[in-house]
Amino acid sequence: MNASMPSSKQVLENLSVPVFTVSTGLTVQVANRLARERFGWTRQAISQNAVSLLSEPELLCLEPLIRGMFGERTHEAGAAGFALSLLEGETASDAVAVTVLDSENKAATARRDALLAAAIEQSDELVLVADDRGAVRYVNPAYQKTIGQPRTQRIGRSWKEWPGYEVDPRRFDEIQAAMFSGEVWKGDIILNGAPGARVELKSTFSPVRDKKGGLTHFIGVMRDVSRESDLERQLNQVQKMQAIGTLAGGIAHDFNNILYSILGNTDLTLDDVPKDSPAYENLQEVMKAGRRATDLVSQILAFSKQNERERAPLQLQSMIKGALKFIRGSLPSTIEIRQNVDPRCGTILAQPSQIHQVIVNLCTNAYHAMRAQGGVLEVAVSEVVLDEGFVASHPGRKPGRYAKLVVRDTGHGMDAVTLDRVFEPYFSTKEREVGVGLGLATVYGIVSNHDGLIEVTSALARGTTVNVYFPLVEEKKAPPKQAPRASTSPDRRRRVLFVDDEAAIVRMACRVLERRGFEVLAFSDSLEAYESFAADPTGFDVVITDQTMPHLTGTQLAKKILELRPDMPVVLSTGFSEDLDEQTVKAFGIQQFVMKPIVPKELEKAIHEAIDSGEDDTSASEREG
Amino acid sequence: MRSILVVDDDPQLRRMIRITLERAGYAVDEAENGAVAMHKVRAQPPDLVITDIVMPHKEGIETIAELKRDHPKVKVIAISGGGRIEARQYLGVAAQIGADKTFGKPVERELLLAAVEELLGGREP
Repeated sequence: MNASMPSSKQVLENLSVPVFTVSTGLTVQVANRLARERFGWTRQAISQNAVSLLSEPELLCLEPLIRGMFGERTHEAGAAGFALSLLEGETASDAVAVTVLDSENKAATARRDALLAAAIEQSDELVLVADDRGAVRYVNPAYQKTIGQPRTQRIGRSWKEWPGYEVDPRRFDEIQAAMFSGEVWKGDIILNGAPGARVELKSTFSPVRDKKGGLTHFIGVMRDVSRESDLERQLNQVQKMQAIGTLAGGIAHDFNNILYSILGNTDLTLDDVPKDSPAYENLQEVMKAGRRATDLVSQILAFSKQNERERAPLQLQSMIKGALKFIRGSLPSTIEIRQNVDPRCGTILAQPSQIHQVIVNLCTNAYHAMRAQGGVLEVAVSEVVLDEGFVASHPGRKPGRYAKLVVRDTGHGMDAVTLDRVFEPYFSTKEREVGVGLGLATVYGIVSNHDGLIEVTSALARGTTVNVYFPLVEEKKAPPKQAPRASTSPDRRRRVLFVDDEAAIVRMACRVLERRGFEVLAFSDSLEAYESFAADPTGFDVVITDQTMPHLTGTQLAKKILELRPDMPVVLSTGFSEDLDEQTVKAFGIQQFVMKPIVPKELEKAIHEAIDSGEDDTSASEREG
Repeated sequence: MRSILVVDDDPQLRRMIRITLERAGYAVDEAENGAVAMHKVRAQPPDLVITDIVMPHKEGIETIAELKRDHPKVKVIAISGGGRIEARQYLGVAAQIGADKTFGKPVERELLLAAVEELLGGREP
């Protein structure tokens, strides 16, 4: 050996990685400086064979590996942070050399591992690790929470077992096949549990392979999207109902015309055929069918969202009494009625006959569900507070205080498929004679109209519960402070300038508007109306004008009025053949328009909206200014 | 013979109502909207106008208002298939404006004929 060359002992001692050797008795034989520093060993202790691998917690994990290497004469092995190689002794006994990898970052690595472990442990996603035989090696707490079984009980069991749930076994086969062919699997796993307990897991399964490419483990990461899916389904349902409502309102008018033509012509033809002829009988059937269709149209209209009437403050608790009295007579004695009505429940704003219909329809459904067996019909009223989370799945609804109506039966209940469709018009599980399937659809329409919420839960053979929530009327608080303006003073009656060349319409509008608390100055001549306005431009809160008039048309009048007072709310009334749509009207600076024929309710609504939007504009510009 | 003007934008309905009334012994003319109707009324006022409400060019409420102003002796029956909000929404307004009778479509023949007879003071021989 060349004296100028370093000895292998020197090289080992000064290596920039910690290295040591372990005997078959698991004692440390040789350790370089970094290794000694790293583990706090002394040269002396090592030379006395006094350092055992087992005394160092960090190295404990190497024990099985090293024993294995000695036993099976494995030449190389690796573990997290360590590289091991077998030193076969020619004269001496075997030893294993251990190189500590990444020693400087060891602590950091440990911290990172701990962090990752915590992330997995605390993740909301379900994490499952299984070995190549499909035995569960690890599941995280999220998994335990979903399954509701201690996770220790899952270790060693088949990953295909989901206690308390049923899963389509084909899913498992698909996933397993993907794992063995080394592919990542993504998809939904549906866990079907007890009624109402359906869990939808958006899942990714990935294989873990050894160096030779063999599957050692696979990892499943699953996100519980049940709530999202529920919300999505509810949203779809709401949108569908709105679409049906709009459609129904839109076609009812045309439909009535068509029915009238069918019925009228059939009636005429009845005159022309002999009363004892088969044709006469058949035509009478046509008449009957036509009348049924007529009834149906009015039911659809009742269901339609647009069907609004006058509302009054009322208390659910007082409505219950009347409604139950109404249906009690038709209930058999096998059905017991229980009332649980909190007399302190607050006031809602509603149309009494519609609320009556809601209660009666729900109770009738409950009765039908219990007709065969009998049971208990429970009707409850209470006051509740709905939070953001609760109303999130009901677009347009606000959190706050609600009156809650519960109608519960102990009847045959519904399965999930039926439950999904209960609000659809014409969806019915009853025989034709019992109903046409508009009962719950009507309830839904009414509840929606009242800005309420409805929920149905049901279980086969256990019964159905319907919860209906109506917003309570909040006690009026003082309106927010605004720049004083004559027209916004709450103490003064709103002053309306009404213009229509038809005197009878003017008279009617005056009657209607005065009855609704407005002060009306009306003209059948648009020029006179303008002169009156020009004499006192600040004396009015809103202008309502017909479009087609002699002298000034409605838009011309609006233009002149807006020149004098640009913030004046103007409502234009037009027939549907006039070439004015909402955009054109707005381009004239007109806030609202109402279609003729004018009806009081629409007129009042348009006035309020015009005044409100005028005030919004003003307050916005005041803020900006 | 008592004369009746039937105003409706639906030609099928006009024909059917016309035949119904003709068979009951009335002289019937038709108009497809309020504007045409008013034109015909000015030329030759009928005893009765039966008018739809929702029509292009001149809707029924305006037509009734104008009829009652210019031709107060002409009787008016309003019929409507329904409104934008509810089935009978326009009929109340029609009555307020001065319609003598109102019906939602479809109208039973007997009801319509009875109303016509009442307004025109019985059938003529």
